[in-house]
Amino acid sequence: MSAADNWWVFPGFEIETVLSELDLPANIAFVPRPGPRPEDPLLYINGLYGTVTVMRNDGRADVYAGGLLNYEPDHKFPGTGESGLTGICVEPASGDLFLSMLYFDEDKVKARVIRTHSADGGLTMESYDTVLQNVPSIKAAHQVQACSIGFDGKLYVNFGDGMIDPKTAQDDGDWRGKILRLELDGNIPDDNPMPGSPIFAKGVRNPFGAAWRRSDQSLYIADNGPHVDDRVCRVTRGENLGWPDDLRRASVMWWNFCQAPTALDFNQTGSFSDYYDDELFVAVFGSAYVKGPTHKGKKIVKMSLSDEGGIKSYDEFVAYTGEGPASCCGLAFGPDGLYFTDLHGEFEADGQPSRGHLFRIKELT
Amino acid sequence: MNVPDIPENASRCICPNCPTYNDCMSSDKQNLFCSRGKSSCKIDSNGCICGECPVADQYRLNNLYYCEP
Repeated sequence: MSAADNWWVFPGFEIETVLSELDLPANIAFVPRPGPRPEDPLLYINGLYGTVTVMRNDGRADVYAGGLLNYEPDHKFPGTGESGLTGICVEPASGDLFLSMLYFDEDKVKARVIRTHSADGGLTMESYDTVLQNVPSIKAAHQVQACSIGFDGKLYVNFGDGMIDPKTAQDDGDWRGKILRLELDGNIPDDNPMPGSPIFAKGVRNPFGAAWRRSDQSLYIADNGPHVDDRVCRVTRGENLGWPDDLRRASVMWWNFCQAPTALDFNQTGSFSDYYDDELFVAVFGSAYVKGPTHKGKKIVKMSLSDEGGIKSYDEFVAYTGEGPASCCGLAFGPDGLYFTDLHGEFEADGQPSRGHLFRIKELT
Repeated sequence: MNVPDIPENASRCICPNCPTYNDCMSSDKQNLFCSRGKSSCKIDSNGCICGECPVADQYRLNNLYYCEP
């Protein structure tokens, strides 16, 4: 029996296992314009505990980088184990990766973003530059999350509020609880909303996911509420997204009962048929470690957005039916379908690497 | 909703995984603060994961920092 058999999928689609034996595969980043050769990189996956895997056009996978955390993760789920290397995106022109992660500066937990470089066409990391560092953080959720490159060529970084004091999300002198906009070298763009500040928007809590929508040239994020009001937001320049006062402010939609949305992406590259054009797909993880099917999360949902700013339709698209701790975490559209990761996979022994998977969902023709 | 102090709830409690859980709590094997009440230890608030707890989910708890005096 394949791990893919543990997932129900929307009628008219099928799931197949692409990669196995991945250690806590958190997020997926496709190469925007992959090379034509079988050995050219197609996508990268960041493992939560400091590894990056590259998968080539021919399906072979190798370690691109490892040991990116300068501390030993503790595998405590839920809790302090839900932290590490979280965000990943590929710079289109160079093929460099941007990675967001925690690090320890003596006994203090901080967040940083690095830009990696490769000397072999993107198959292994040769070196990296630090783009942003020294941001106070927490060894738990609410840390630095997704990074993405906008249609304007700038780097956008989602920062959680740090969990301890929600008011940081409204403090313009603190990068926590914000969406930052940076030049690719980490400098602050001249045309940011506040001169000399990297803040593009504020008032977010735990914004795991980020995706850019072509049809309106906008950034959408998935943000996690405390026990109510998980949400999807369209992020506009200089906007206050409400946390901690009102998580529904500026939201496209919200879940009253929390489902823990993680990654999200739009069907906008022809991966699925025109019938699903521009629909939004969101991974909802649920609780941090639960075996078997559950009422919370372990799904991918799809939505059709309305021109007025809300949603027109909402469907469960994928749901877990197995007995393991697998749950949907990373998600991204590729050239031949929707890919997602299951973080813990079907089995995880205490303190041992997980055996997560990368799956692909293809539309039946 | 009151949380019963029963072995099933204690076994599902995630307090020891929390960034606020400290050596004092650990040495006394304290947990299930949502049922047993606040901790007797000095606490630095380093974040709260009560919102992720399966016990809190089952009993529909909405508050945080049940351990805090």
